[in-house]
Amino acid sequence: MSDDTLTPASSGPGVAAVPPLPNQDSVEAQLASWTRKLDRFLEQSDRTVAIGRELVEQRALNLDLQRQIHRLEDELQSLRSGGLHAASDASSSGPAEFGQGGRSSLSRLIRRIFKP
Amino acid sequence: MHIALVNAFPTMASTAEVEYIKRFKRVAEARGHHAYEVVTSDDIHCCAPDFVIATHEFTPKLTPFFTVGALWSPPAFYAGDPLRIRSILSHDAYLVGSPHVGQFLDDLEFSTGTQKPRSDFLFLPTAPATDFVPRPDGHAYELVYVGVHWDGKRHSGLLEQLHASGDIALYGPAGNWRGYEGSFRGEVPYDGISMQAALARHGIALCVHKDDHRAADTPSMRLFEAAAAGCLIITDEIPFAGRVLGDSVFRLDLTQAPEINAARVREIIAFANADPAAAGAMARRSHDILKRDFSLEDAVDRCCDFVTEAKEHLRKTYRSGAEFAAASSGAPDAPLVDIIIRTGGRTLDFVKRSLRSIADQSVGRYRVILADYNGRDDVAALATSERTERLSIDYLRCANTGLRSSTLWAGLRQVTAPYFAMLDDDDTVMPDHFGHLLATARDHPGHPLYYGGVVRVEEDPIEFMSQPNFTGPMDIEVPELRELKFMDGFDLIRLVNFDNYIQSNAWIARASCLDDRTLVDPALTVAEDMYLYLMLARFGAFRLSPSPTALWNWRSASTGNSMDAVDLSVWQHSLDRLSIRLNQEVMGDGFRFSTSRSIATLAPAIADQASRPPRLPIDAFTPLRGLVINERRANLNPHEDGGVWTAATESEIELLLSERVSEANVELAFTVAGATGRPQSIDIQINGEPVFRGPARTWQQQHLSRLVHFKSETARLKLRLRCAYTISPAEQGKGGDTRQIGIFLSGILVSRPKRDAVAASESQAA
Repeated sequence: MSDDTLTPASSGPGVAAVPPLPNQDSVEAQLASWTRKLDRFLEQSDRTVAIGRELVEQRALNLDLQRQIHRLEDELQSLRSGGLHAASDASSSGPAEFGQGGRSSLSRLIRRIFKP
Repeated sequence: MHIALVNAFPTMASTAEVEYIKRFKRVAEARGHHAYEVVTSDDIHCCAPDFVIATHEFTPKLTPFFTVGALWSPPAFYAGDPLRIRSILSHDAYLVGSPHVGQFLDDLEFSTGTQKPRSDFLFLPTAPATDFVPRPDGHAYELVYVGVHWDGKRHSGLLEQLHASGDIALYGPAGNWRGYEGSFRGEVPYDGISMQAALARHGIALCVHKDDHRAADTPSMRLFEAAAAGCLIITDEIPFAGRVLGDSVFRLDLTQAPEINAARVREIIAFANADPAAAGAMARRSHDILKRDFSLEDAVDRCCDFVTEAKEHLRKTYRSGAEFAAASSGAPDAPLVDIIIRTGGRTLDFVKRSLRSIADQSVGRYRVILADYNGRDDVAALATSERTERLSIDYLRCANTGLRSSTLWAGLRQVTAPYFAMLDDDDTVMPDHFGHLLATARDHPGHPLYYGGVVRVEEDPIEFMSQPNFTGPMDIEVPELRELKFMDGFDLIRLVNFDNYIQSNAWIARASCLDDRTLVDPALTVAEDMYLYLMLARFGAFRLSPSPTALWNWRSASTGNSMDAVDLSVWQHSLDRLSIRLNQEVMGDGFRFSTSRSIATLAPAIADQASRPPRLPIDAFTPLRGLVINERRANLNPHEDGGVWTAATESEIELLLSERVSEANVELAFTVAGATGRPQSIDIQINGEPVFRGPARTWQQQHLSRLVHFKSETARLKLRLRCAYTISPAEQGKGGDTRQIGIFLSGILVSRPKRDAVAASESQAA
């Protein structure tokens, strides 16, 4: 509400200062204006919360995708590094190479495809 | 309701917590609620939940939102860890998983003299209610075990026996099931749905627990999902299974030899296939019992009801604390606490934020004494404009003496409320801050000062908080900007040792303690709050209220923190003067201050549990000792003078750099162990980027230098060191060292790349 309308009128010495009554149209107009502002504020507040929640949902989905990617990369690496594990077997011979899954990885993959 | 569930392990791909969060979300949403998987405190602020469930005790309360801790793990996991205990204490209420956990909570709360609400039902990692689906005719019963197998040792004897005889199907992360090829069937996505489908495919579920789980009677998630999947259950001697599921399940005595249990399991598989009707009837009974008494739907409903009641209980507690204080305030509308805010140097936005955090208190009336040492008109105007019905603000013009104590003591002399407090003009408090402190004062009369916990908020988001649960195999930087900084029980020895663990905005004190002697301004440049505490400690012990409701807003990159500019010599001078002034004062424990200080020198230094981890300096070749932030999980042997040996074929070491970098030259000095005549290979990655892969010379120190481009600017360095095999020097006939060793890392140098080197590297890459 604007202070202007409530500013007391100046009064002469010895006369009690009585503020003038605001006109009804002006009060209604100001009330309507404040109602609109309040509504906008509430809508904005609701919208902020809604966007915040949507953001959190999207972040969770993003994290979920990262989890899936990590799992798949891990699995792929595990299949590819068959040579690495073979090398840790005392019975293995020859140089251990990375990225060469070899026959054992392939046979495991085939077994996993056909076995539930 | 809007419910946030905290995933405490965002850098791990497969955790029971994530599986539970997914299920909870699905069930809650079917019942008209909204549930969110959140990671950071910012996430919680963003989704503005009605309450937060901390699914693991690593997660403290860091926000004003009502936070309930799920205590469904055995106390043996966290009882000895001060960080996790503090985190548990910070929660507003508890969802308790077993009577044993309840007993632990009794003991813990006895030590703090508090009693926060706790569930009167068992909160367990249950599964959604399902209809029982009988096993189709002709489908053989097979044994299945699903596990993250994170410790690699759980029931290894039994699982090895069953794996060797081909009697078990294993699921989980591929990397954790090495050595079980043939039985291992793959990883089940932790999506809240696939797990039950995987279990149902096999028909018999092995649900065994660690010793700690059995001792604490905290059943794992597997039991519930196996029943929901309609499986015949083989479990162990966990009391819950005997008490709730009775003879609808088979139980193994895990104290017996693995061979005996493996034979028993094979008998059960044979029985199920010989008499599928009987096996199906048992599976149906356990399914019906858990559906009736422990469905996730029921847990969601009870959880929401519990939180509603707990919040109301706390509201009443805070209200009655405020009413109790009001009774001694003299007038019904008089302030309960006078809060001194010293200001004069900061922008108004900071001061306004502090004032509004007081205006937003959930209960009570307060008065701010806005002590301005710079005589600013805008501050005086703010004192008028920020007044509310429940917050009065008195502007106090103070002389600018350059002494922090003078402004504070000017404020102290104005105190008229039954309690007083301080608030720095850039700090804030949560809405329940004064309510919970006043309630504590009502419940525990006779203490001069009551204080709560402090959450540090990083306002310059250049650096994120480091927590032990944020280290893991996924290359993710967790943008956490808050940490539970202080929340320790009262310890006079620490205080007289000038260990300030009570933050200036975390307490209220009785105004009756402001006697003439206390009100003499000590004229200190700094350490004035410590002096005030020690003067108040003459009246008795302080009381901790274990709720973190004070916010310490900190800006790491800016220079606007008030203590940044204070020289160490100024501190020392102030502390020397403080010691002289207090020398003859008798503390609340009956000892003179100087005697207490003598005792303090005898006590071992108390480490700040929340202190920042050490950081690897840039441009300096540094050994790793003391720098590895994931020491427990890094697969390292104990550090030696010259470096550290990896203890397994795969080791992941995490370090924090002193600065954030987007690219850096990383130089490693290392030696690789090997057996005579047996080739060795190594694979080294830095933050997921391969830097070396191939055959390695053994027993010779090597240097490796690479320019590493990080996906985004980071202060976190992850070294993944893999070797084809480890050796034991003793087994190789090289001395008596029986450790398994792989790669010896002598040190690391991280430096900023020279621009020409970057250009050359980029052009080669192109």
